[in-house]
Amino acid sequence: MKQSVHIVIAEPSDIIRTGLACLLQKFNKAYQPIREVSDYEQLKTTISLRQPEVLIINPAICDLISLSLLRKTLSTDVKIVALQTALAVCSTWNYYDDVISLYDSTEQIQQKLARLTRFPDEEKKTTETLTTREKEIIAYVVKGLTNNEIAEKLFLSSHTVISHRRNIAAKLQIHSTAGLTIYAIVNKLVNLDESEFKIAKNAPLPDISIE
Amino acid sequence: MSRLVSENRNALLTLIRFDIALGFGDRTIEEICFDNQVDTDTFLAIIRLLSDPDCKHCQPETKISVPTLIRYLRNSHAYFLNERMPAMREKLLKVLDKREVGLNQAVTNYFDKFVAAIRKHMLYENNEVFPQLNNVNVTEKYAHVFSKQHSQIELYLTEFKNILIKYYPVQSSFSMHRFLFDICNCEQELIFHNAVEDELFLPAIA
Repeated sequence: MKQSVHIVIAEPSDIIRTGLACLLQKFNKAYQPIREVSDYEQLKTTISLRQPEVLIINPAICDLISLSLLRKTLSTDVKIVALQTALAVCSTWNYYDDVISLYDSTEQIQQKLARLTRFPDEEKKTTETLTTREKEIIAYVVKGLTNNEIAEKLFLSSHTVISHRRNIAAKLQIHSTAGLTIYAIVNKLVNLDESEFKIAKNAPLPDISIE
Repeated sequence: MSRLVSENRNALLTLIRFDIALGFGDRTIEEICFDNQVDTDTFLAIIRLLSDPDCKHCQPETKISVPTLIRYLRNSHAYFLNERMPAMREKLLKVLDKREVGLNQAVTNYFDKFVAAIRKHMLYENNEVFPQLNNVNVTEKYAHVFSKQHSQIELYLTEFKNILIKYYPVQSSFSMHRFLFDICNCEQELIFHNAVEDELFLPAIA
C-alpha cells in the first residue's frame, strides 16, 4: 500500500517555508504532497480542498482564536505543529500538538514528525514471514474460496479470516487475489493442476480491495 | 516551443495528446497552440503540473479551458487503451520464461485484470463524466470516485511491478529488466495522467 503523509506548511517567510519543505522531503519520501501557504486565507482554502495529516503553522499568521476555529474545521486526527520563529507566552504552545523551533536540529524535527505521524517501519514489515495459517489461507483464496467458505473450512470466524488477510496484505504488500495467485504459484502453495485454480483464474475479480 | 520540448521531456507526452506535430522551427508556444486550436493557458498549466507533480507552484488562478482539457484527456485515454497497454502486454508475453507455464498464466491474468480496471475507469470518464459536465450536482460525486479509482489503478500497477521484481524467477536476461523499466515509465505516465485529472480537471469543473 502506498502510504503518504500530507503536510501543509503555513509560514510567511519564503526562505523558511521552502527550507522546511526541502528538509521534510529529505526525511521521508512519504511526506508528500507538501503544500506551502503564506497567509491565513490561503491556509483556509488549502485545507478546505483537502485535509492534511500534519499542519505546521507559524503562530504569527494565526492567533489563538483563529487556531481554535481551524481546529473545529479539521478532523481530530490532524496534528497541528507550531513553527516557533519568535518568543511567545509559554501557554501559547499548549494549544499545539508539538512545537518545532527555528533552531531545532534536523534530527529533532525528524523525531517530532515521526512521533506525530507514527509512520510504520516498512523495513520491519517486509521481512516478516508468513505463518502456516496465513499460507493455508492464501491457498484457499487463490483457489477461489470466499472469506466465509475459508472460515468454515478452517473452523474460524470470518472476522479472523479477514484479519489474517489484512496481515497477509501488509506482510507481502500484495492486495489482490490475482497478485496472491502469482505468489502462491512461485512459492508452491498451490498445485497448478488443481481444478480450483482454473476457477480462480476465470473469476471476475477486478476489485483489489481485500474484503 | 522547441526549447520547451527539448528541456522538458514530459512536454512530448502532452504534444502527442494534442496531435501537435513536431518540426516547430522557431515558432512560439502561443503560435503553435493557436495553429492547433489548443488553449495556450491550459497547455501550459498541464506542462507546469507535469514538471512539478507536487503542484507546489500551481496557479489556481489560471483559466482552464474545459474543452481543451477534455480533448487532452480523451486522447490520453485512447493512448493508454489502444497503444500503451496492448504494447505492454505484447512485451510482457515476450519476456516471460517459456518454462513457467502456470506462473505465466497467473502473471498475464494479473496484467489483464489491471488493464480491465483501467479500461473500466477510462470508459466511465469518456462516456459518463465528460458528457454530463453541465450538471453541477454530479461534480462532487466525481471528485470522490476519481481519487479512489486513481489510487487503486496506480496501486495495481505498482503492485504488479513489485511482484515481478520479488517473485518472478528470471535467469539474468536483459529483456525482463527492460520490461520493468518500461513499467516504471508507464507508472509515471499514469501518475501524470491522474494528476492532470485530480489537480486541473476537477478544480476546473467544480
